[in-house]
Amino acid sequence: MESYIVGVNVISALLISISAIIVFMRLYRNRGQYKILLGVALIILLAGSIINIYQHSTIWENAEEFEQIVSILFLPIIIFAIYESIIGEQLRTHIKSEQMFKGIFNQTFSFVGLLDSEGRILEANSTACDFIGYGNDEYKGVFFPETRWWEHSAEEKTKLTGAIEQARQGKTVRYETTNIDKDEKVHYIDISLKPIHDSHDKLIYLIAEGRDITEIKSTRLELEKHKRNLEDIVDRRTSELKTANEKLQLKNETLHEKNTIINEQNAKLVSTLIDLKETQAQLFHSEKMASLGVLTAGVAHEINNPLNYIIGAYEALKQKEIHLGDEEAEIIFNAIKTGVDRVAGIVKSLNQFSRNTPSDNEECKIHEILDDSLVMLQSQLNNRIEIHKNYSDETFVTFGNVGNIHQVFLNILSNAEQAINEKGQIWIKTTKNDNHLIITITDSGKGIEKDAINKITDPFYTTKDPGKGTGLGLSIVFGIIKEHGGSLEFESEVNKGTTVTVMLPQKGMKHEQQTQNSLCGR
Amino acid sequence: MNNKPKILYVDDEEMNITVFRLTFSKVFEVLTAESGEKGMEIFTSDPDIKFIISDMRMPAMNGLEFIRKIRNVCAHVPCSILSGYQESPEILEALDNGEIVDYLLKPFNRGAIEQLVLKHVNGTTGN
Repeated sequence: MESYIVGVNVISALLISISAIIVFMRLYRNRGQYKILLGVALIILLAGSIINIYQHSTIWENAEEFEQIVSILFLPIIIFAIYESIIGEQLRTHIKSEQMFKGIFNQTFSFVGLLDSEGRILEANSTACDFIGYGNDEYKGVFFPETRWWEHSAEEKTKLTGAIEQARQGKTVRYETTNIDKDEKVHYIDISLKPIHDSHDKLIYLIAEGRDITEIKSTRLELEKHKRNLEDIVDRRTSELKTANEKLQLKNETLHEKNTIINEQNAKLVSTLIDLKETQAQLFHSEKMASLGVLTAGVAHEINNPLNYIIGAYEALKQKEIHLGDEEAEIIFNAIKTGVDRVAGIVKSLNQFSRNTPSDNEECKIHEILDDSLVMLQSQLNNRIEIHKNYSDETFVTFGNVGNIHQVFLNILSNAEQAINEKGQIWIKTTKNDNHLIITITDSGKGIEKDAINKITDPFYTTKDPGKGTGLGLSIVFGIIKEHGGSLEFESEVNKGTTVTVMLPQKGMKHEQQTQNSLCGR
Repeated sequence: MNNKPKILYVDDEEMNITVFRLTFSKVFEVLTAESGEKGMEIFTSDPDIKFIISDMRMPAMNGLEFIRKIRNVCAHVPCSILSGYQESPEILEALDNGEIVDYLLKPFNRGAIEQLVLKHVNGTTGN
C-alpha cells in the first residue's frame, strides 16, 4: 500500500516538476507577476509531494509536520497567483489603454475639450492648453465661452454660446471661428461641438474639437487674393486687348480707307499726269497758234482792206469802159486783178491756219487745203524742190475742223521740205477707197532711222537741231487725225525718202446742212 | 420808177464806201452810212431798203450788233457781213441763226455780191 502511495507521489512530483519548468521557461520569456507566484506555488506543491514521498518511504519520520506547513502556504499563494493572473492583468491592460488614450488626447494636433452638459469645460488637451498657455486645471468648470480662447471677441463668444445651445439639443455643430493664442495672435479655427449621450439618451458631455486652419485659411485667402488679382489682371488685360483690338480695327479701317483714297489719288495723279502732258503739248501749240493767229488775222485785215479799195477801184474803172479797144489798158486791168487775186489767195491761205472756230463739222476740201499749205511753204520750196501733184478727179472732201486739217498737211509738207537738204522732189497723191480719202506725201529726203519711226509721234520727240523744232508737230498732227477718225502711217528708207500716208474718213453729213443753209434767211 | 433794188452799205472807212458805190451803183441803188447809228437812221427813214451789207469791225457798234438792231425793227430784211477778217465763231452762229444770209470776205467779189443780193431781193419781191 505504502509503495503504491509512493508511486503515485513520484508521478505527481514528476508532473509538478515539468509544470514548474514550463512556467519558469515562460517566465523567462514573458515576465508576469502571476507566473512567479504560480512557479512558487508549484515549487511548494513539489516540495509537498517530495515530503509525502519521504513520509511514505520512512526516510524522514517528521515529514508530516512539514507537509502541513507546505499545504498551508500553498493555498494562499495559489489563490493570489490566480487573482494576480486574472485581475492584475486586466488592470494593467486598463491602465495601458488609458495611457494610450491620454497620449492620443493630449498629443493630437487638434484642440480637444470635454464639456459637461451645461457647457462648462472639464478637460482640454495639452495642444489646446499650450496654445493659450493654461496651466493645470486652471480652466476646469469655466463656461466654455468664458475661457481665454475667446477673450478677444464678444461676437465669437455669442456665436459659441449659440452653438453650445444647439449641441445641447443634440445637434452636431461645426463652423469657422477665431481663437487667440498666448501671444494674442488671432488664429482661424474650424470648430465642432458634438453631444455625447448615455445609454438612457441623456446628455452627459459635449466634445469640442478645433483645428487650427490659419495657414490653410491664409493660404486660401492668399489664393483667393491671387485669384482675384489674376482675374483683375485678366479682366484688365482683356479689356485692354479689346480696346487695342477696337483701335486696331479702327486704324485698319482708316488705313484701308486711306489706302483706297491713295490708290484713287494715285490713279488720278497718273491720269492727271497724262492729261497734263497732253495739255502741255496743246498749250504749247495753242500759245504758238494763238499768237500766230492774232497776228495773221490782224495782218489779213490790214491787207484785205486796201485790197478791197483796189478791187473796188478796178471794178469801177472797168464799168467806165475806158479799157475798150485799149490793149494796154486791158493788160493793166488784168495785172491789177491778178495781183489782187494772188494777194487775196495768200491772205486766205494764211487765214486758214489762224482759224479758231471750234467746229468739227466743216467741209474740208483736201485739195484746196493742200494747195493752201503749198502757198504757205512757197518761199521754202522755190526753185529747190519740185512738187508733183497727182490729185484725184473726184470731190475730195472730209468733214471736220478746216484749221486743224490745214495744220496737218502744212506740218507734213513742211517736214518733207525740211527732210530735203538741197534739191529734191515731193509727190502728193490723193486716192479714195470705199470709205476713206488716202493722201500720200512722198519726199526724196534723208529718211528716218528705223528706231526713230515709232517715236516720231511722241510729244517732244525731235531729230531736228535745237531751236528748229519743238517735237510737237507730228504729235499734234497725230492727235488731230485721231480726232477726225483717221490714221497716219510712215514708211521710210534712210537716204531715199519718206512716205507719209494719211487716211481720213468720207462723211456725208454736211451736205444736207448746206442745202438747208441756202434755203433759210429769206 | 427805179427798177434797181435799194441796198444799204455800212462801213467806217470812207474809201470802202466810195469804191462800193462806184462798183454797184449801176446795179443797185446804194445807200451808205459810216456807222451803225447812221445806218439805223437811214434804214428807219427808208422802208424801200431791200438788203443790208455791213462791215464787221467798226467803232461803237460792230456789224452784227447793227444787224441785230435792224432785225429788231424789221426781221425780214436780209443782211450780210462784208469783212476783212476770217469768220469767227460769232459769225458762224449768226449764220446758223439766220441773222445773216451770208458772210462775204474783202476784197469783195463783185459777181458774188450781185448774185447774193439779187437772189434775196427777187425772192422778196414775189411776196
